[in-house]
Amino acid sequence: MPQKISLAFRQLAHDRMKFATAIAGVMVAVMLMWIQLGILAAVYESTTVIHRHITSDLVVFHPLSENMNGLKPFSVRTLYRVRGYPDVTGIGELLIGVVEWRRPDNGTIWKMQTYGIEVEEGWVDLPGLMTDGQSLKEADTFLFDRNSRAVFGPVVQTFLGGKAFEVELNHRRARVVGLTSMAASFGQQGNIVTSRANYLRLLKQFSPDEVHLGFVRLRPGADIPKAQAYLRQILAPEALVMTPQEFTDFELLYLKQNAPVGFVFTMGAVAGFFIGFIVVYQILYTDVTNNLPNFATMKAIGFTDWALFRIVIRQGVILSVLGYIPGSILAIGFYHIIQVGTSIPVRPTWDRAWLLLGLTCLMCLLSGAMATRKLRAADPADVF
Amino acid sequence: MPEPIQDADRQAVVQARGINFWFGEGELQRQILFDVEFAIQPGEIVLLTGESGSGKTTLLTLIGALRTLTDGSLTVLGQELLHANAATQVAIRRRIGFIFQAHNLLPHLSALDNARLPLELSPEISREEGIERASALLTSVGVGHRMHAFPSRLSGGEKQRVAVARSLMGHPDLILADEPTSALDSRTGREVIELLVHLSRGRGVPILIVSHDARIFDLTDRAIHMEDGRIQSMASARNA
Repeated sequence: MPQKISLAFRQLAHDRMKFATAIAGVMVAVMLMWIQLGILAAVYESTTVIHRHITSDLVVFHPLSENMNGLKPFSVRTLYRVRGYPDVTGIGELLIGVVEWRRPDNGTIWKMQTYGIEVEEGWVDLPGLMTDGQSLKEADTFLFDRNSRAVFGPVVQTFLGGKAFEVELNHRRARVVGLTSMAASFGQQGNIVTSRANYLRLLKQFSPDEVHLGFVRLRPGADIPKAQAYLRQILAPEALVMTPQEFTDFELLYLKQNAPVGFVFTMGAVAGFFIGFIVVYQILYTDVTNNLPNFATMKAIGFTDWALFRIVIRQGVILSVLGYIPGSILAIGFYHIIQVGTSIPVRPTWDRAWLLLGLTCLMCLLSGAMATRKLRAADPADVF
Repeated sequence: MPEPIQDADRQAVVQARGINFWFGEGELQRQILFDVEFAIQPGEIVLLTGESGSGKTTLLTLIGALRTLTDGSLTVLGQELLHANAATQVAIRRRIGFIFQAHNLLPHLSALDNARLPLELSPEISREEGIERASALLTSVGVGHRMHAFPSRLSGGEKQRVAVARSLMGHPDLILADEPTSALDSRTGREVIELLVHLSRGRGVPILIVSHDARIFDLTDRAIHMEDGRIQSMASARNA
């Protein structure tokens, strides 16, 4: 039945203070869900930034490794054995470690995630790697991740200003020769990328006969699953073989199952949902209770239970929309603050916007549906 | 066992036969209505009087399909209401105009929107047509100049006039009014009843008015007096 009078809105907005409180409650819940899910997505994104830029067909790593940061080194000779498969056209190495970064201006020391790679082979297509990567052939040079946190000093500004930026890495002087774009995360404050040779200079304790992650390139048109199955067989039990997508999923699975971060932020989003649910339920329940005589009058006039149910549900939808819009705008503002303050890539996405609109509507509809139970108490005979 | 309906009664808007009604269950059960029988003919305006607790409001709620009848026979607008299901009750209610003791206007709607509320149940009537009809009706009950005011800004008499307009809005086949003058001073109460009677007669709509106020007897066609759940007398106003 099309409504000619917006009964739901009129009833809801009649008490403006309560109406504003209800919208504020939904807004806070929406904001909380945006922020929690945004940070969670950013953690996933920042943790898999290398994974998603791998260009090889397959990756090889130690079977006891749990994730990228926990990659255990394995023998280069193991990696070289993949050359025995006829479709393999190239292999590459990635070395991962942490160096100490001593700020030249104030002497403070920070941990810096360091990647060693033969840049010219193009195993990883991070921004800046192919253009500035050639400079890494020089000793003691590196590319600085422009998304690293500010604690490392004014590196980007200095470099873009045309001045050399030299820093002490593991007690060795090194200089920035370019910028790349990765992301800070909860685990790392910043990243640098350097050549394999420079990596070995910086991390002297690391054996040159070992590698953290191996890259395998196959000839164009090769049957990747078949090659993967074969290589798994010949490298077992010394190494695992995965496609880059499987490696990304492997990382995310570790995060979801073992790292508390996924659980914490998911719970945060769930808490937001329940806060909104309780606020809206309380508002709608009170509204229904206060308006029972009016609902009873409407029943006496000929409104069905279903028509009254729809009024309350509509109120839920109104609150959803009116809370969702400002809640989303504020959340996007908070995203900006978080990104500027922590360099964690918290960005709004349309997928998340739709998901949260759906969750907000669900939250308000559930609250409304619960509140409508009270409608049964509206007895039209009581109005006489 | 109800008696067969006579030809004359077939035309009746309301036909009650052997109505008994109880509240409560078990030991707490109390009979409110005892073998009530009466009829309201088309266009008739009937006053139902009686002391508090005499059962007149209960009878009104049964006629209004607001309670379910479990004993006897009650035909309203051609529909038997004994053991009527919820859908039947709603269908009957939509053909009845209700006027309540406390006006029962929705506080969050203006007088205009309160008056056109029953049209929410008529999807074939457009918003514009509804506003036009409600405005005309409010003007005819003397509150056209107050149509945008909310109930909290209306006097008791104005509220009841809006309630009268609301009851007539859906072109009802029957109007049930419960103590419509009790919250009003005697002059305003009489004015409201005069108005209701005038508009109803013009439309040929029968009315059953429940009231303590015997002073409005002369405005009705006849009165039914109830005592202790029984009809004690029926008197014609024209013969009074």
